[in-house]
This record gives sequence, structure tokens and C-alpha cells, in this order.
Amino acid sequence: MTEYTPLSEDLLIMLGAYVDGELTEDERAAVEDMANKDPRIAEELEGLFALNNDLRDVFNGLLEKPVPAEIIEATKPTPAPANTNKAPLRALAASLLIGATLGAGGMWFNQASKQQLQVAAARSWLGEVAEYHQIYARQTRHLVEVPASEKDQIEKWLAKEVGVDFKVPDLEAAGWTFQGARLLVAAGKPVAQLMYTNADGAVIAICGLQNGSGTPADTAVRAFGDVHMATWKSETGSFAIVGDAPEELEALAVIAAPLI
Amino acid sequence: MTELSKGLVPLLPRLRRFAWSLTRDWPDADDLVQTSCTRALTRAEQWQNGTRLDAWMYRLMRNIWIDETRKRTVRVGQGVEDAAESSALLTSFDSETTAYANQVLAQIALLPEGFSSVLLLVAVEGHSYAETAEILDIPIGTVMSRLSSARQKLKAALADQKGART
Repeated sequence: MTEYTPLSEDLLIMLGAYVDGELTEDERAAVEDMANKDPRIAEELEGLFALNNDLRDVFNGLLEKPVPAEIIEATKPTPAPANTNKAPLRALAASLLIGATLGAGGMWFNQASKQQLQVAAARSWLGEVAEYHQIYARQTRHLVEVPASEKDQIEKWLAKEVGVDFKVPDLEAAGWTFQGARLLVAAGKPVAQLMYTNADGAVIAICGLQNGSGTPADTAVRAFGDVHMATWKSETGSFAIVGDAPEELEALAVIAAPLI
Repeated sequence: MTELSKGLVPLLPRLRRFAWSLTRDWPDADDLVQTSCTRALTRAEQWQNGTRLDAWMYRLMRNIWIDETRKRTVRVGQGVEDAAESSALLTSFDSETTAYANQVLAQIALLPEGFSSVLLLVAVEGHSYAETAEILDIPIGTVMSRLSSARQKLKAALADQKGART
């Protein structure tokens, strides 16, 4: 059984306020004085500090839970109405996710349409990444969410959110300095985005998401308006280096692919 | 891509955690975060860039959750529930979480409605009593009494569990 001494409610509130740093200097001194004189109060304070530590551990553990893709999707502004194919695709992706969470009961969706969806999604994620790049490359002050100094954390965080294990490739030798990372959503899937800048202030991004097909693919260069990309696939991930100069991107892709 | 929408993505893990403290149920928490993000984007003009987005989102989430609980006929966690009657709550944590963390979370879930958010905001996130009162739209006195009562209940419950194991 517990042996908590029945201290008055008001005193307990005051001790809580001490632990929470809500007391004035005089009040703090008064509490410390009481604790020195009465071991029950000292013990109560110790218990409150210990509980706070437990609460922090437990609640901070909840931050590690992967955020579902539907929620990440809900943070995006409503897409422009121009692309009429996107909305049904998103609805389809959402229903697939619901199907997946329902388990066996939700397996109504046939394999053929699922593959079709993956192909369609693969085509559009690059387009969306190109749109993002035009925005982020101009964000000189807010280029990244998590800075390069937290590289280990970035690798863990993005691997967990995106579902692809990878390392941040070191492109210093080629003149590109890693600045940090962001998490995006493209075609309804979480996408890791690693940002690099060079001495001229130009920005490139390496983007990666899960490779739905599981089939590797060689480097290919594509253009989306002014934005260019060199793309490749490993067995687990689909990747793209995004930037302005197509020839350089292809060379960087060749350097980065084995490092990632 | 608006400033607001960019600001929301890195906040998501914390928004989910706060949502769980309100709902104490993961599917409800995820629905709440999703609804709140969608609502926030339609009211982007009400958020002034430079003010704390987390506190603004928390207030929005709390209001949406209050509306939702009013709509529901059965309210989860109203008053103190008997642990045995709430076994469903105990199973809602995944296996990645350690056994002790599971016990603590289960006990937090059993606290009366409105207590766990106060604990999270003050004891974990370090918001002041005044900020917490504003986020949750309750008087400071209520913040203080809920906090103290939640701590005493948790300490007693966790001590009982430790006692039962040894």
C-alpha cells in the first residue's frame, strides 16, 4: 500500500507550483525552508520531480510515432483546380490507406487497380516535387526544417516517416554543402527532401520516397519547366536530384546514388 | 504552399500528442489533428505570422474537440472510471512503447477529462499556468487544481502498481 502523508490540498498545489517554476523568489525560499524542516515535504517534492521526469519520458515517446500520411496530406493547401486527375487519385489513395488499416476486411481493392495507382502516383510525385522546388529554392531564410547539424536525427526521422533507410550523401567534393532536411507530401506519400547549396547560393534537393514497385532503375534526366531532375531507383527507394542545371544533376546523381 | 501549411508539418508529432491528451484515443486523436489542420488552412488569415503556431493550433483543436464531445452521446472518460471498465483504453498503445510507459499512459488515460492536457502542457511542454489556462480556456485556479489532483492520482496509481508487482 502507499504511504502518502495527507498534506493539505493548498500545500500540494504550492509544491506543484514550485516544481513548475511558477513561484516568486520569496515563495521558493519559503518552500525550501519547509522542505528542510519537514522530511514529508522534501519527499513530496522529490516525488513530484520524479513524476515529471516519467511524464516527459512517456509523452516524448509519443513523438516518435510515425505520422499517418492522411494527416500530412491535410496540412497541404487545397490543390489548384487545374489538374483534374489529382483529386480522384488522392481519394483513391486515401481509400487504399483506409483499406490497409481495416486489414482483411478492407481488402476489397483488387491488385490490378492498385498497381495502376502506383504507376500514376509515381508519375505525379516528380511533378509535385518540381513545384515544391520552385518554392523552397527561394526560401533562403527558411530553407530547411531541420538543420544539417542534426544529421543523425534527420536520417532517423526521415527514415521513419518515409519508410526508406538512407544516409545523407556528402557532396562537399562536388561543391554542394548539406543544409538540412524537410518532409514533404507528394502524390499522397511522405517524401524526404535533403537540401544543398553551393558557393553561388544555388539550391539543389535530393528527394526520396518509398519505391512502390521494388524494381531498381538507372539514372534518367527529366525536365519540368525550368526545373530539372535526375532520377533513379533502388530496391527500396525512388530518388530524384532536383535543380536547374541538367548535366550537373546527372553527374551528382551518379555520385549520390551509392552514398544514399 | 503557404507559411501556415509549411509551419504545420514539423508540428504534427506534437499536435498528435496534444490531440491524444484531449481524446485519449489514437483514432480520435488522428481525426482531430486532420480536421484541425484542414480548418486551420481555411482560417489562415486569423493566424498572424510570428505568433506561436503551436498555441494557436492547440486552442483550435481544443475548441473542435469540445464541439465534438458535445455531439457525442457517450463521452469517454467523464469522471473517474474504474480501471477494470476501461480495459479498452489499456490496449490502445502499440508494442513499441515499453511496459512501464504503457502503464503510465494507461493511468493518464484514466484521469478525469481535461486533466491529461494540463499535465502535458505544464509538466512536459513547460507552458506557464497562464498560457495553459488560455489554451484550454479555463481559469488559472482550475489549471492548478487539476494539475495537483492529476499528479496525486498518478503517483498513487503508479505506486500501487509497483506495490502489486513486488
